[in-house]
Amino acid sequence: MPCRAFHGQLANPKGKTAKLLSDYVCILVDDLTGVDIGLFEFDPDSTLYCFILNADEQIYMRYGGRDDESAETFLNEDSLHIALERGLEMHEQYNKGELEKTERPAAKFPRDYPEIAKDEIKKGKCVHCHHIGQARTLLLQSQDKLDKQKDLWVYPDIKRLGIELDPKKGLEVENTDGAAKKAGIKKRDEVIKLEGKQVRTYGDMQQLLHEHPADSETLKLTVKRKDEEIDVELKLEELWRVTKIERRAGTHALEPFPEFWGKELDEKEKKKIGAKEDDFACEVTKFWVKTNAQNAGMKVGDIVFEVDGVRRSDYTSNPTLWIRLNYKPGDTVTVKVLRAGKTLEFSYIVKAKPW
Amino acid sequence: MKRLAITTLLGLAAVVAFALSGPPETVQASGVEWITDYKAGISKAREENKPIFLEFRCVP
Repeated sequence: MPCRAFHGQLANPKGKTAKLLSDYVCILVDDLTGVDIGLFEFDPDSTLYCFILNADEQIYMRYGGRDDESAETFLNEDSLHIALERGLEMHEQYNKGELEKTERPAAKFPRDYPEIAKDEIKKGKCVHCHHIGQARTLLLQSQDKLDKQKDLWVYPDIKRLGIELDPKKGLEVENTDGAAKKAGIKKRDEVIKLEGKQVRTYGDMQQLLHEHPADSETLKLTVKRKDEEIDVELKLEELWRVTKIERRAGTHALEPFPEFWGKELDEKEKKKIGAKEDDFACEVTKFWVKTNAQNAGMKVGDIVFEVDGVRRSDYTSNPTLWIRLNYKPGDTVTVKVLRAGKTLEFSYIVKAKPW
Repeated sequence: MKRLAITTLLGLAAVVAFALSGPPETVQASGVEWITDYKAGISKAREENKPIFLEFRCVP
């Protein structure tokens, strides 16, 4: 379901959604300028993200989260109903003093990022979610603190743990594989805790997964199986945090600039040129300004399939991202391209930015 | 006459000011009121002792 359509359903709810939302005060925010993003921290590359909380700003749960396939995978009326019903139950518990209060995280605002302060805020423009991810990367990069092996791999995909959920049923497991299967998680189990913390929605789970240390080798989950609560420990695989980060605004700011802009070929197009799904194969679409790659002889339409001998990687199938992740400004890059059936090779120095 | 005109003008100004300062910015559709002022939403939730459904719309 397209996100705008889902928002449309929220804005003009019918039936059960309308009934449940009538028990809430509904707030819509489309400009993050004055928002405490320390309290409301979420995946900045979302298209819609919701929180259920109370007037004391105690957050009961999150609703949202995404995967590589779509920003809308986990947004649907059924899972929203589950979240809204649980939210009402938790509000009752809170009123009775049955819920422990959580400590408010340190406040943080978009203006704390110099890039946003000097652009969006100074110019009076709206601050959108993706600005936050981009500004974070730029800040770390400018302070020479960006760890490309860790800082960019945010909001992991639960499927990397070997857990496939039924998006309509909240955290009910639909299928298992890999680490989850080895740990004994079964179909129809419901994930209820991650590292001892309660999770009620996919959004809750993805946030805690995001906060889990990148270098950790294990992950503790608690699942509910019928009436029993079972603790399991997953042995995390090396690539558990890897997602397609080229879709993230933050990676567009990564230095160096690969000296060309490109579009990764799809599976069909790759097959046509004899490449496999995970192989590098990226068509040069533009140079925008005169770049070193263009000066070296590369042209729009060239298909880049190799970078310094590398043709595929577990981290990305996109050679432009590969260059951003593995080179520094001033390095020399040698790429191989296909042009009219012929293989050509070009070497050039990469700069920090296109200009 | 002059006093009447001033009184009328002041009255009109008060009506306009009241209209402009009215309830927090809201968008109402199908019976669900979406408040676009976060602080006003918090106050309303406190007054009515209701939980809050807060949506961040990130589509630029």
